[in-house]
Amino acid sequence: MFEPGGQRQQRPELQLEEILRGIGSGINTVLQRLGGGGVKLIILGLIGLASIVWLGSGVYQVGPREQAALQLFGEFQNTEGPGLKWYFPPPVGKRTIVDVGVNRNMELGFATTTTGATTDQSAEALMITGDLNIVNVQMVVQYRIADLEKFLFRVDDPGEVLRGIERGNPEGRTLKDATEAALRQVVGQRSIDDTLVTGREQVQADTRTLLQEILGDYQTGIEILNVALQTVRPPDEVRAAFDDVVNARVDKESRINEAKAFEQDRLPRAQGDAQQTIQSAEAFKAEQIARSTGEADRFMSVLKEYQKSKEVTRQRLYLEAMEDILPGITKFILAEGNEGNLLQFLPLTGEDGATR
Amino acid sequence: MMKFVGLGLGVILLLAAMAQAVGFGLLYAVDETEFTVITQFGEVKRAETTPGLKFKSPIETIVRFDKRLLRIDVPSAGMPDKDSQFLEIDAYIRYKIKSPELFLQNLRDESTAGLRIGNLAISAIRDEVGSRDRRDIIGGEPITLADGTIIVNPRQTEENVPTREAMMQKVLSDLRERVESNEFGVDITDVRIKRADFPSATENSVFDRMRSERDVQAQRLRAEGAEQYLTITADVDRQVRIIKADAERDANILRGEGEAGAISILAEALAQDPEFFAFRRSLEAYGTFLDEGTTLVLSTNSELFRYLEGPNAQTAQTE
Repeated sequence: MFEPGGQRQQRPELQLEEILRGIGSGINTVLQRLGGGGVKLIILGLIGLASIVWLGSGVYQVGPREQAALQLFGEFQNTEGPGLKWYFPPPVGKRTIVDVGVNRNMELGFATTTTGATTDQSAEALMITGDLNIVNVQMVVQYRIADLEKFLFRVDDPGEVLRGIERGNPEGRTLKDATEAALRQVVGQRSIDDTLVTGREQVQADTRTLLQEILGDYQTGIEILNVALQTVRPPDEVRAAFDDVVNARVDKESRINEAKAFEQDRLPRAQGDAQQTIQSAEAFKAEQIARSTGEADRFMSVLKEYQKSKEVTRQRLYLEAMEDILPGITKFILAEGNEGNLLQFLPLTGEDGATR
Repeated sequence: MMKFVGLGLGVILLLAAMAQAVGFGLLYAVDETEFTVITQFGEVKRAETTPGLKFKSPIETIVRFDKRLLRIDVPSAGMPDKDSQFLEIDAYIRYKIKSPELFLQNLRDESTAGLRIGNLAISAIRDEVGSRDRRDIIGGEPITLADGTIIVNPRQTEENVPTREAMMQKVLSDLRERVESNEFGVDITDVRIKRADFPSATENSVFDRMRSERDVQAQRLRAEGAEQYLTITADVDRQVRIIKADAERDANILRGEGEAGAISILAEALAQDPEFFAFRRSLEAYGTFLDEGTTLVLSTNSELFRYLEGPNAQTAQTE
């Protein structure tokens, strides 16, 4: 059961059989002194009963997501998976059952209380960026126990009361120290703008890599599943100035959009106006051509007829025109030879007293 | 059945015997997480470095030590860098007890170890911080681009190791040396700067600087907005004016073409008989400018009245 290891040179040689024989004969002597067979049987029965009860207490159960780490006289033996098991009860054996299937979370920079409210842990959250600004980072680390032996036996830890983590459990300060160191190293290599906006993914990935490396060096048996940045913001003291930059960026965009709207409004209108001007000129041109063509055609038609009988047509046209013109106007008709006396008529007649 | 009972009995008896042995101080268990040092009258006899059940003589006493990776929290301290600017450095040490005998002789227990190794670490860190500038310690290399934005690259040594990593490596080897020469019997696994913060006294001036940097940025953004606005609108104005002028030019050309076309078409027709055109056009013009307000003096001699005095005047007149 407890085979001596090769390296234990200083331990005295252990002869199991000799000891057993010695103990057996010792007990026999005691029993013989106590006397008769009845008493001997009772005592043997009691010892047997006690041994059965004690051995029975070695039965234990490992839940579906759990693992049991088994120690014999303090020495780690092996781990056991889920099921109903038996192992030496204390003080010989020791079993530590841990839920290894669950994914655990650690919050950095803030703490969620039992009521679900969060409180800031600004000492953890405030850190310096590569451009010597201060940034407030909140993060959640998701991890699980990948190696129970390492997790239980390789690393001491002061524990963390705030998170309910007991002494000796590397989930406590060990994990938090490493996370803080990794995150701060990563953020220290970046600008605040990178950390706040553009570089989040990269910060997460780099922190995860570095953190896993550190935890691996420490043999914590912890595997980092995910590193997720939560709120990343400038410190409250300078919040307004950062917000103003955001506003300024919006202002800039809206100025540009205003200008684009102006462009979208003015250019089509100008094109429209231009088309109107050109079309109206086109219309004018067409009009001019059409009118003059019409006039020319009309003239040519008339001319053609006129040329057939010039004198008559000329007379007719003249008389027709006079017919149209003369009715509405004041006329003086003087006999032949009296043209020279024209002036004497004029002052005597008004507009109405005209001779017709 | 009897055999099983016998075996069980044997085990029980063995355990009883062992309990007896523990009671006499002969047997003891060493946990997976422990070392033990066996002393006799204060003198270190040997160490047990493996877990399990161990023997000792009743007059020997055992001292238990933690075999796991231990932690020392180095108290946070303000340290000046190369340029005498202070940073608040918070670090921790991880170490293991390598030789429990030496550890017992020279350090006695973990809390003493914490103090003494912690002090050595502080001075190693102080030396290292004092020989570097702030950018080395924080680990970023800020570069200001032409447009005023600041980007940061990781600051690395010539061997492409991040400066902060390199610095911690240096502290680690320093501390290992110091611990070695003191024969503490420990192995330093890691020294790590957890936090490097501005001291709280200078925090306000840092905030002032951050604010003014942001103000500059905001101002620049707004100015850029104005610049873009003016650029775009001025360009639009220019385009509009060009479009308008082009249209006017084209329109005038068209009008001119129209007028020219009209003139040439008419002129071509009219040139067939200019006299007839003059005659017709005159008649038309009379109709237009002789209206009701006009007084016209006509002679009976006029062609119009040729027949006014008799039907035969025609012959007399006709020549």
